[in-house]
Amino acid sequence: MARIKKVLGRWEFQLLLFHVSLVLFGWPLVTFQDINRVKTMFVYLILAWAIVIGLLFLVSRSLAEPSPSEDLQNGDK
Amino acid sequence: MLDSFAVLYILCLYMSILFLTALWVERRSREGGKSLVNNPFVYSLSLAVYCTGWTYYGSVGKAATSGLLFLPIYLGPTIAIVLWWVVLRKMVRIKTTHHITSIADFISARYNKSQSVAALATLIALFAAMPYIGLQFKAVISTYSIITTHGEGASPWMAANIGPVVAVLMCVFTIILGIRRLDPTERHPGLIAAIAVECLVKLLAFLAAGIFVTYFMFDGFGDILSRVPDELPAHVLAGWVSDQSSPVTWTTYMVLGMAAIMFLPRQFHVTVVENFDEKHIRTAMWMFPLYMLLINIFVFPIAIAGLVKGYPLAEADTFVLGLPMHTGQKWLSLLVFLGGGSAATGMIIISSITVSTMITNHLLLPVVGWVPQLGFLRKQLLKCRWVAVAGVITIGYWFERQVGESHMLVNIGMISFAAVLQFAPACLGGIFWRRGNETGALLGLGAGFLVWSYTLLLPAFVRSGWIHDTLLQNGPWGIGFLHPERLFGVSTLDNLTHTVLWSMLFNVGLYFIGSLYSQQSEEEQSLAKDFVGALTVAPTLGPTSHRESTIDLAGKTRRIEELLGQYFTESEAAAMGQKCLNAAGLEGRPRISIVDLAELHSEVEKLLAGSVGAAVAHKALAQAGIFMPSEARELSEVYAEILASLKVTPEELKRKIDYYQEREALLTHHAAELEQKVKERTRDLEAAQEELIKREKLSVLGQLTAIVSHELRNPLGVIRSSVYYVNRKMSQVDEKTRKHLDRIEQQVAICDSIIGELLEYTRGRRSTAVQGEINPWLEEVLDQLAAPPEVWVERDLARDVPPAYFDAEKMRRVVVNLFENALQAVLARQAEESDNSYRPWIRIQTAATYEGILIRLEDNGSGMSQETAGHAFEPLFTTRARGTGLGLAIVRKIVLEHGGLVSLNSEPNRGTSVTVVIPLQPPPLPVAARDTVPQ
Repeated sequence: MARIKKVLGRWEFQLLLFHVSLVLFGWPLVTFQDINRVKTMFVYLILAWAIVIGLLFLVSRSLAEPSPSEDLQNGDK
Repeated sequence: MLDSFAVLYILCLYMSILFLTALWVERRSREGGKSLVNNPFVYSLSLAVYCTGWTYYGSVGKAATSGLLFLPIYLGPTIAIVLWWVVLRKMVRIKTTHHITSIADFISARYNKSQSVAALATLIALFAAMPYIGLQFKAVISTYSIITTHGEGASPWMAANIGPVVAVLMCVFTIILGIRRLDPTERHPGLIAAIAVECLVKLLAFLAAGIFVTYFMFDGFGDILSRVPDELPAHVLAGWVSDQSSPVTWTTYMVLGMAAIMFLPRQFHVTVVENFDEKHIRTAMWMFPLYMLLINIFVFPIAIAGLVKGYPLAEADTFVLGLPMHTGQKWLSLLVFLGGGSAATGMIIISSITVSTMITNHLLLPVVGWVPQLGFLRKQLLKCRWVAVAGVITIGYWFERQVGESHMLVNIGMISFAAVLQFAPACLGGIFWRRGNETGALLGLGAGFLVWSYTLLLPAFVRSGWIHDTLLQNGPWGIGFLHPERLFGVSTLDNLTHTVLWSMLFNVGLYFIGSLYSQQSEEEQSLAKDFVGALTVAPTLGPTSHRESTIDLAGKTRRIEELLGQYFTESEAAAMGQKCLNAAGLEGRPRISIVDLAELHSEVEKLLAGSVGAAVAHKALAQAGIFMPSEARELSEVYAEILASLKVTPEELKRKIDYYQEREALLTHHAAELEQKVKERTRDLEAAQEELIKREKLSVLGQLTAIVSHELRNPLGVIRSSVYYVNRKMSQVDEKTRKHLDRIEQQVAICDSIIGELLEYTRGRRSTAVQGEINPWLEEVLDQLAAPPEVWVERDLARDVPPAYFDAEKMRRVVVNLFENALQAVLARQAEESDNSYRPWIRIQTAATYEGILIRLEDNGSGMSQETAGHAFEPLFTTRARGTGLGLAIVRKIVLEHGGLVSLNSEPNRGTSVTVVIPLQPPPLPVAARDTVPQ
């Protein structure tokens, strides 16, 4: 579990998720040439969106606390 | 349908509630309590100011006319948010360090605190925001007219004047909550709280409308989606195919959404400027995309529902309000109207604050600097902002009145997004590329803005009828190559993509060329380093050089207060001066050194930048002459001394600083890791130490118990034999004496049993395992145990159980202890149960398993809680009044001596099950025995 958290919290994983999201929400996975596929596309996009949000939730739980010297309460500096 | 005054009254009531919420939060913040806005959920909700009236009404319109093309506007931000922990956190860190007040200030602060860059960025923001504000007015006014003109309650005066009324309300609300005073941090906790409430209301209202349309007017998502494409008009489907089918258009919308979430001035304000704590970004990273998903999930179904019900495509923008209203849902319609109003007013308020701050800091103050006659305006900065807010809102409203239903207004959302995309190269380049400089930023921003104006804004003016359409027919002066929508002959792209392509090409290209061509000043290099390395912890430098304290602090303080007095009242300036002295650690000192003065200078600049922007503050400090020429020379000497003492050339110094900064970052990282390891090791050691102390205590206790128990057995034996003797001699005693003698015997037996247990636990001999059959032995043990007739004892002994190695006498103790525990538990429950339905039982099972022979004692007694069960095997732990707390501890000890396992499952009022597993192999040799085994 700790290992998964470590991976999710890494910057490289966020970069990977960024690119995966670009692929999930872009051409060629998303196409509208056939009007009959609009319903399927709608359901696909909503599900893919929910999955990305789920991953973002896991990422946010895995992000390391800023170190004390970094940890500035904005405006209190 | 609804009375126009009643609707306005409810709108005012709603605004008043928001107003009171904001005031309450402000007051709480001022009184020193923890600000309610200092909360990741409030922060995440406030980010939803992204979803304006355009989202609320326009998304449904867009879905009706262009299918799913409304989605990339929200998918783009979701993708961008994935990188927020680095990108946004960096921007927030920079904001905190440099007291950034707006996006123009951010860009200007990075590029040499340039006033030209700030002014240009302000102009772009202004062009992007004003028509967008007009769009929000249109949303409020048109929906107000829809909700009130369908019945007899409609008031012509109200219908005609709702626009000015809303504009005045917005002005008052914005000024009172947003810019009642000048705040160096430019944060508005009250306003943000109100915006968060508005965002929640608009989400709930939209969801309510969506649920009503989807589940009450139709039979759910499946039903609505099944109407596509058969029940939709052919021209609508044709529009969907032509609009949404192009991957290029889809991608353009997504890119614009990605830029908008970071660089729209209002979005920058709520995400960066209003951020209390960078840790809040973690929550926003999932909560804000979730918000966008929720507010969009019903958009497509509502659009289809409106079209299926036969509403005209031209009214698609108001389907979300029209559908509930035309089905007689008066209160739902009102809720939807309030939600739409929230979306629109939230945008108007935040946008007008940010734009007015930019106007005063980056347009007005530089002009005041050039024209000495306008110098008095510096002291009226707050009032200037009020006027700017009123001006921005009024012009936004005027724009709506002038443009009305024209082409311009309906497309202004995407036009604005394309405008703010121009900030992306300067902002992202500024925080990730050290070479980016003022020239590059000016050229990039300028070129991008010009191309955007020419290819998108100008054609929109033409289509709105403000400029003659020959421009769009033949190009300027008949030159087709310069046609605004087919620039340089590119005619295969839609207008928006066309603009994004050319503006980004010019913007990014010139930003890089300009940055590579021109050199950075030393100060700009330092700023670039600050911005790019914002997340790297820089080493803290101590006093670099000892200097005599010869500078009169009172004189410098007066000069600083005079400077601040140009922008603030006398008392405010004095308070701010004192704040800077405190921040620099110089309070109460009569004289200071040149190094101290440099520190004080830096503090004043930071504080002033918070109110008037980095560029103006920098210039004002430079003109104020805080450093006398001799002091400036001395400061240079200090730097020269530092350089000389390091015995390196400036170039080498720069390289070394880079090296040491990286090394510092690495060391900080390693230190954090080491700290973590030390913490873990300390925890382990503490646990081990606790265990050791516990064992030592138990050992001492064991020895003591053994001695005491042994000594007690002798007097107990004497008591027992004496009682026996008295019993025999006094056969004719009265009943009461007999009862007491019996009681003595019973108590002696109990004492003996307790002593037996204590001795067993502390000094019992080690088990000597001999191979034998379990079942016959167990039958024999159980035969000797008595249970009351009402307790059903069930033996479920498996056949073909192989022989195992066990100490029959010791294991007898195990079974007896477990059986007695079970018996006490069932009798206790029987005593507690009020009805007669309870049937106590104890079941004894054996079975052959892979791990060994299993003996299980189960009962349906009173059971125990999870916490009690967790401590059950600990010595001296008991929940009974008369128990020693050693029964199960002895069981565990004996089973472990056999190399076996023991486990317990229990539930209150359900019963307990204890499982013992005896291995088939002989148990391991005890330590002492093992040591004596010859090698």
